[in-house]
Amino acid sequence: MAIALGETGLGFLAAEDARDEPEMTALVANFSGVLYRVALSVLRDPAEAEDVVQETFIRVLEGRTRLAEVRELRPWLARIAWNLALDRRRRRAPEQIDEALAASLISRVCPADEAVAEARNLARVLAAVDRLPRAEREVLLLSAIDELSTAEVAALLKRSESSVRSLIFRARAHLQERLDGAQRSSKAKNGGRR
Amino acid sequence: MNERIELREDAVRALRLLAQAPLPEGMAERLTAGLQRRQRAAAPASPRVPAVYALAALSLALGMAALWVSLLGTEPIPAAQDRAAVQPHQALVGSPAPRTVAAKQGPTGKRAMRGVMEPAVAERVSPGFLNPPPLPLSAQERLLLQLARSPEIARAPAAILRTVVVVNHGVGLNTIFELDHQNPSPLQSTLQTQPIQGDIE
Repeated sequence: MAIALGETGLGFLAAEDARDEPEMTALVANFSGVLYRVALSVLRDPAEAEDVVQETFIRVLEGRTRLAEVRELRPWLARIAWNLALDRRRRRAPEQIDEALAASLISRVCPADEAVAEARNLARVLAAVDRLPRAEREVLLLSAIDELSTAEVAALLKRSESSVRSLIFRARAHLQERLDGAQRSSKAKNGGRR
Repeated sequence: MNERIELREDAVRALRLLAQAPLPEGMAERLTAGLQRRQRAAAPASPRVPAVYALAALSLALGMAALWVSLLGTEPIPAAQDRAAVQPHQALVGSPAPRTVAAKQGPTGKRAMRGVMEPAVAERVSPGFLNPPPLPLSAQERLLLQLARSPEIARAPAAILRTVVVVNHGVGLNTIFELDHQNPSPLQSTLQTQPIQGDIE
């Protein structure tokens, strides 16, 4: 759903002297969640993702005179965060999935005895996602975020909705194949050892 | 998620965990505070601030004016004739004009420190101390003093006229002049050329 700036109650941002605390709090409350998850899906590092959210808001406030031209605020903000996160990821050395992140995500939903196996599973799935083609990977990660509709993902990536749906389909198929293949090879290894 | 292909359950769970990651604790407060700080720093100055500055500047100006008026009222300005009575050597070296103290001012307190002497002390001081003779001036100082007093440029006294002998070696374009700098005159020199005798070696 397209949300214009005026409809969000954040039209104050377009004013030159916008600095009211309640409005700033509203800005953070409305958009920090989706921006954080977009950044986290790229960076897999909570601290870096928080920095990206902060930087996104700063850019919005610095360029707020152009906000009146923005038709769809949330995908526009998400796109800023997405690009900032990609920039940061390019600057970082390639690294494996942060096991601390997986453990922290799992520990909230699983008892301690299952947490290790779940964390390992999460790391395996995300590693398979990382091996997908770039367009499929981006679409898959963004479409998993509940706050973003298919139309908003399409606006963020500057693609058509039908293209996004097609990429999601292909990404799921490829991910399924890779995970099945990985499972088969793992079973074969275990069988060979026996 | 839009699904036509059902993902494996573990993949769906992993993607959901990442996509629904909770925000770090205190992140909203940190973000809000940081943005507010930045906004305050970037915001144009409040219109009340210049008023405060203007008031402070006005107060400072009034204070300076009051101080200046009080100084003018208690200390007389040296008159033109007093400045004219300055010793010549003081005029040359730029020493300040002596202050005159009004007769009505008493000999005690700060007035005494400004040059009025107690009568008992004045009796024990030699006249030469109170009215010191002028320091002897050099010839150049006397000349400068004469220049300073004269409305026209004075001619140099005959006593400091010097003749500078220049030796003309007489070799055309490459003529060499030797100037005697032993006693240069600041005002006038006379050049005399004298053909050299013999070869230049």
